[in-house]
Amino acid sequence: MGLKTVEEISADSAFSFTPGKSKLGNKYDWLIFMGPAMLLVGVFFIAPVIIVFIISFTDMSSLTGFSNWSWIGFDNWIKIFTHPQSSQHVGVTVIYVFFTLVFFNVGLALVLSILTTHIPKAAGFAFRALWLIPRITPVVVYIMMWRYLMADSPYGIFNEIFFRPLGLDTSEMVSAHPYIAIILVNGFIGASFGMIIFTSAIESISKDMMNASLVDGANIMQRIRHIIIPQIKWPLMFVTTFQTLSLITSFEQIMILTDGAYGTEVWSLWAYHKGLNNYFGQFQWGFAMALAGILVIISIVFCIAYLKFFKFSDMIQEPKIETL
Amino acid sequence: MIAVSKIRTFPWGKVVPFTILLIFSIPLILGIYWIIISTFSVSTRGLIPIDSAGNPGGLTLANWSFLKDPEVWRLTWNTFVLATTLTFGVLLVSSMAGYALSRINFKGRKTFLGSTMVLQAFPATTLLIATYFVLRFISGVPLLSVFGYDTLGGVILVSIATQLPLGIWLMKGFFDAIPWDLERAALIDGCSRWRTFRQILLPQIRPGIAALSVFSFIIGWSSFLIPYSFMTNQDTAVISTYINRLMQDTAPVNYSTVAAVGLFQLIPVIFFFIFTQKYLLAIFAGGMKGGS
Amino acid sequence: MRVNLEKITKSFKKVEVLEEINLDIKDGEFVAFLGPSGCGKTTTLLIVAGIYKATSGLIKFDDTVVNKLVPKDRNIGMVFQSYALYSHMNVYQNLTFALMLQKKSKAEMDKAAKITSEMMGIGHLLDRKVGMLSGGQQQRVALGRALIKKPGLLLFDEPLSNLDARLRIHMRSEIKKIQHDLGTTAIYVTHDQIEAMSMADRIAVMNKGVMQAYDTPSNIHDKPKTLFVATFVGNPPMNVMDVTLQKENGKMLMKLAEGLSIEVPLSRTPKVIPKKVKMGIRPQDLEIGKTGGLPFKVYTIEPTGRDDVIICENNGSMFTGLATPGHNIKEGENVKVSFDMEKVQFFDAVTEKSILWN
Repeated sequence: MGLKTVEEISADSAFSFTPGKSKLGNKYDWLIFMGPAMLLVGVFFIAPVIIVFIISFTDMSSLTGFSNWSWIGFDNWIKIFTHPQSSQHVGVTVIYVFFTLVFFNVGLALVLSILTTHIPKAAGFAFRALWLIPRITPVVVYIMMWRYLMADSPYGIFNEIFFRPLGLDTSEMVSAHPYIAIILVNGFIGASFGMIIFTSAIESISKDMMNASLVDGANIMQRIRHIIIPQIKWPLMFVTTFQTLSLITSFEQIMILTDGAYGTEVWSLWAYHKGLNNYFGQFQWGFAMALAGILVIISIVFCIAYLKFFKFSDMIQEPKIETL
Repeated sequence: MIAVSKIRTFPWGKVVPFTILLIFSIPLILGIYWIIISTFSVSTRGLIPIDSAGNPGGLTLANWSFLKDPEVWRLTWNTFVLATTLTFGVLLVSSMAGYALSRINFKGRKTFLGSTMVLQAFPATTLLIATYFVLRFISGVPLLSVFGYDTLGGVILVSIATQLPLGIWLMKGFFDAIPWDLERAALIDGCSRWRTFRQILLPQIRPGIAALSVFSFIIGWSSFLIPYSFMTNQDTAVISTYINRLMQDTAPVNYSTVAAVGLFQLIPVIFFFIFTQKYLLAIFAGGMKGGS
Repeated sequence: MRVNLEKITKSFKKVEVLEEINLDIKDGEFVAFLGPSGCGKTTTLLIVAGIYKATSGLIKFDDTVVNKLVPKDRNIGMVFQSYALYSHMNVYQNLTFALMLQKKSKAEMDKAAKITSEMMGIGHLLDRKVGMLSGGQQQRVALGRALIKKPGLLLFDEPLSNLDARLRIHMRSEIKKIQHDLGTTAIYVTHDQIEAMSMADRIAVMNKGVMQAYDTPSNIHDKPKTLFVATFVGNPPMNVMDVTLQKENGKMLMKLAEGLSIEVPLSRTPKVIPKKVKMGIRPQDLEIGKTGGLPFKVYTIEPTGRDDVIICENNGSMFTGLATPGHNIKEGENVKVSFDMEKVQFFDAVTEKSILWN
């Protein structure tokens, strides 16, 4: 077989094998597989996190450019607490996150999943597909649809077919009720995530348990209260926390709908405007990074919590080939 | 007695949920209906198409005249390039990494797995401003400037990176399900790990590849925030940013035209969606469900 | 090809799953690894194949240490329990995949595929996708794929356990014949003792990572080295009971119960007598009658066709015996059980090792 003799190999192998010297495959082959992913994650996740915190300690802005800036310590971070607009941005963010979460991303999601699992299968599937459409629709098209739904008479659909025939006052709803507008727009996208997760959780509740509750004489409300909700406790907690984080940091829909007008500039949009995109083209990168830094810190805290929450080590299977 | 039994057999248990669902879905149904109607109308009042004199009627194809505009086709081409390269990139990078994480024992594997999982929850939007600096830096590096700020290449790279955590996690899950004996057989037959990956395992996870492809394509085709943030150049813009520009116009918006362009962008997505709903549902639910 | 395992140990994350396995396999020999699931037999096989690394110890093929060789350089062919066929390829591609990797010419591949497929009786299936084949046909493709490289060593990982009973008996003799005709050394992992007994030249019985015995099938059956081997091999399993051995007047006596002693023949007299002894007797070596021997009550009778299996009970301990159909034993009846003392086995109750054959 053209191999080494016993003596040669026994000499360096003996009875212990240091993996580093092993000729069983190339120890660094995994780098080929992992390399591209590591590079991209490093450049577009890890480097930006570091950059956020570094620049937040500078006064870098479109006035200083990339060369004339200087270190200013915690000034940007202190400025967050003293900035006159801070409380307004916190306020709208809290209202937006709370109501979208409670009424739509968890509440409506739960209602949709319970209802679609209690009607014939095909119909349930069709409704869930309908509710997925906002999520897959290009966001600008989706917002355009809502703008028209909420436009003033004689164009707007809500005004034309609900309010005007009922003799109610018509209005351009986005500017008249901006909070409701951003909550509706985000909620109709957000509900589908929880809907899917809850649906699969409800479908995996054993049929025997459902039937047993029927035999015991439970009506549908009692069934939801005593069987379904306790059984999907884990997915409920997961969707709630996951969606809280998504809502805190998302601003895409709000940006297209109002661009922060009418008091709808949530925290993340505020940071985006300060740092990357505003009407005047004047950027306060240092301050924007501190604003974004707050969101990054929140995200990291959530993520660490997930790692504990997930019982991560139970999910890992050990590779059952050792030649590499 | 008959009347009572009739009432009893009336399927309240089905009709009530159905009705509630229908009521909740009204905005979606009306909105989608309007998009379709208005693209063929001069103008609309609520859901009713009207002509220029304000009377009902006025169906027209004029809104689709944008299809004759070469700019739209250039933007469509850009969008297509973005979507396909994103798909290809996500598939390549995440299948490789997914394979290694599922099947190869190496130092730091657990750390990578953990961070992959956690990064799925990490909102990439919080890093947009910092990513701007990364792209500016790349622009300054010779040869790499095609991936820098204000280039389609840069937008593609950033988009791939944001899709990676989900992609890797999915691919890892698919690889986990392949029996070990298959790979062992290949190794004994004389394959290297790379060849095993390419010739034996990749064909086994075709459903996973299909699902991730469709998903990535839709993401790329619809993406707005990343191109909008990192491409100011009108020549390399995509359909999403184009529609946004039409909508944000200071002049009164011609909704019918915007709707037509929107429908134009929506058609391939709906098409994919109809044929791959089950795959997509699995991805939406599966990506994060690993832990449950 | 000769195979030598010297002091092989294996740990997964500090949990030891193999304890100093020593084994020598002669050229052309057919060796079975027999044991319950989780005993370490497949792990040992995968170490021989090069899929797992031994934690310590040497693996030698002929006189070459192969510990550090990748599987493809070990000149082995392997058949898996699940067949592990490449489902996206047809039969021809499955068979010739290894040859293709060796960059053999098309003509060589065609020739080898023809010879192998005809030997396996699948010559007419070469164009089929493997997913369209029956279980037996897939099994033949898997076997052909292992053989086509003309390996020096064939490894089988429970290859027949997914087949139905009839086909299993057929493939058993077929594999044995092919191996014999080719003269290729073979290791065959199984939990089915009939497979091991009928196919192997020698059997390595394993339990909990320890090799219990390594011997010919008849020695494994007739001279079991440990209590585990004695009870694991043989069907119905060997009966075991606590006894006392005493020397009296130069005779060895086995005391079964108060006032019931039987003389032990010289051939079954152990040299050293431990404090606590377990006696083992196979069901075919005891007789159930009306007089003489240990009193039992018949618990149940299970007809198997050739014999009736008679299960008797005495103070909570169960004994199994065989009787030719036509006997007049009835359920619930009181019977007497006597032993063929030339066939009894004795074990140290503490170490569970045989005190006759070690």
